[in-house]
Amino acid sequence: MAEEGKKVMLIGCDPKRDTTLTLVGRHLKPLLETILENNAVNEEDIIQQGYKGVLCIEIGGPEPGIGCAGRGLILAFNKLKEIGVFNRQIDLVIYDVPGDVVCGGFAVPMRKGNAREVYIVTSGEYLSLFAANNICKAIRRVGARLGGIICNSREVENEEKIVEIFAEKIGARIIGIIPKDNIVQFCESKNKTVVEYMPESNQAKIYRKIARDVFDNTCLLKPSVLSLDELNALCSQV
Amino acid sequence: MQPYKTCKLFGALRVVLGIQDAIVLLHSPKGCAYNLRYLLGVRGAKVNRILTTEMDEKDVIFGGEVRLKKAIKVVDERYNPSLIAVLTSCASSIIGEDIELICKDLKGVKAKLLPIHSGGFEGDQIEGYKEAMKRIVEDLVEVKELGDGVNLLAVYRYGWDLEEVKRLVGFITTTNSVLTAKTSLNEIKNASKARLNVIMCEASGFDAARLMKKKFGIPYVHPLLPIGIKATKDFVFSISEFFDIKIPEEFVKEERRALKKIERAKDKLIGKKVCVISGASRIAPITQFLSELGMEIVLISIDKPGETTLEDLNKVINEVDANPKVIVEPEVDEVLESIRQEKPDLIVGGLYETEISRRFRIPLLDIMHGEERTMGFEGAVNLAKSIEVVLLRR
Repeated sequence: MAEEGKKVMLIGCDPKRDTTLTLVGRHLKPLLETILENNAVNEEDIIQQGYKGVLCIEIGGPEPGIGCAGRGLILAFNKLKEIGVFNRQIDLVIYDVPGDVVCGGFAVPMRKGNAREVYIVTSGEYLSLFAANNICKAIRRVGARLGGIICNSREVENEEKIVEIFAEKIGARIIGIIPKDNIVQFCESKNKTVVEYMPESNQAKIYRKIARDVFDNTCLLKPSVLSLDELNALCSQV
Repeated sequence: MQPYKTCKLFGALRVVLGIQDAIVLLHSPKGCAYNLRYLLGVRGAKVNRILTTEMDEKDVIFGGEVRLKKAIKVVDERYNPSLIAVLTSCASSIIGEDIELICKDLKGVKAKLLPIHSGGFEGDQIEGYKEAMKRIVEDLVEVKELGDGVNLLAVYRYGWDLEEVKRLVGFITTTNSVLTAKTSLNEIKNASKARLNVIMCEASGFDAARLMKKKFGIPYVHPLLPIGIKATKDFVFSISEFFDIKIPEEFVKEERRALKKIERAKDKLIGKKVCVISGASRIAPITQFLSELGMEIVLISIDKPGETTLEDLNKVINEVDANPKVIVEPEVDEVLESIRQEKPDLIVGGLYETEISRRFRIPLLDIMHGEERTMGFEGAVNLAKSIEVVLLRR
């Protein structure tokens, strides 16, 4: 989207703080670490421009095994609003949230006033679908809306079919399918996105199309949730 | 929504506060410490040993380990206590702060460290008393050679009453250790020397007594608290029976003198309707004593009964042939409604009942603080007189 001249902001909400790495080319100092050092945070302290002027923010979180990352997200979102990062002209804000909504804090990005649309990235593996199903529960709970499913292929047998049926059962549609390709890891090893490092690759073309489809998507819905039995059956029957 | 109970932190705090050479360090936001200091201070306790790490939002997110370690060191250097009890609050409990490991890993601290999990949401005050007593018995009481005397187990209020109980014990034997009112770390370490544990608060004392029996082989008894003539006699009797020592004549003389004084006070009390609002350990003996005074007990409210509270209370109620309404673990509204119905002439309770007393213009005798004399024969005489005085205020 940034290539098309849109103003895009990417907010990494994973305590692993790796969302923006390939856009900026280095690890950003996370917002929560900045807050820890100094309560008065400026936009300049936390926003870095990445590839094609994408505005990048990493929220960060505590070290593994200590503290409360969920509360960290709550504080971070309050801080982002307080310093007015959303007041500028932005066409698209993307929140990258880790694979499962494990507590109230991790639901904050999808609560009212934050993300308007949720897209779930899943493979056809059982555990990935299990997490996707949990995210649907959270979406229903907080009253958010699902824009669709993106299938990130792990080359599981019948993967597209499994994800397709899953999407159908929760009442969503598949926005895009990302094939497994080693160039992703290769570009990551160069700290670059695929779009920047291998812009002519098939993978980059697929990413561009998904971005366009997400941006244009107007079909938002309240997803259904599968029972564990249904989920099991889905993964074993296909 | 209007509980008549408080939280686990309150109970745990009161237990460790009884150890006079200990500092209580709450791993909490500042409010926990401020509110508890306020409340306990108003009730007459010494609260200057309640400190807090003043946890803030950053500590919740990143963990309060650094702050806690620093606070422990400061407390150790500034106050030089024998013991620092580290108590978790809601905030530190929710994030699962590993206080055991933090205490274990901390080097160069002279004080003994006692971590206790006491997050408010984990339970009510009784759970806090239990948890702290358990930690104390498990981590502080040392294996010693058998000595003499009794431990007073699960007693948290000091003042005249505690001294009186020790004096009553003195008719038969000695008091070895008090767990944990007006006690010391050293006294607690030596608790295993006692030959008998006398459970004072049955709601929180049974677990500790059983643990001490298992660990040190010390048997236990749980008489009613010595409030009133009969309960005082039974209390001393339960100890004399165990030690097989005859109750001395002086004790009997004291009883006779007290009875005479109480007879004189009774005239103005007979037939007066009374409501008792209390915790587990006091409810049965107070009910018994108020009947000894000829009063009519119309309402009994218990914030949280222990293992034998209701059994003990029913026994008393049957023996004295009373017919009170009994409400257990009530909401405030339920207490208000019951008082409205029963129209007592007097409320026997604590500071929490001040507002109720004002609202209904029913006089209140506040006995839930350390400065009141309620135990033993002299306590009985004093209580009878106090009731007379309070009733006159009407």
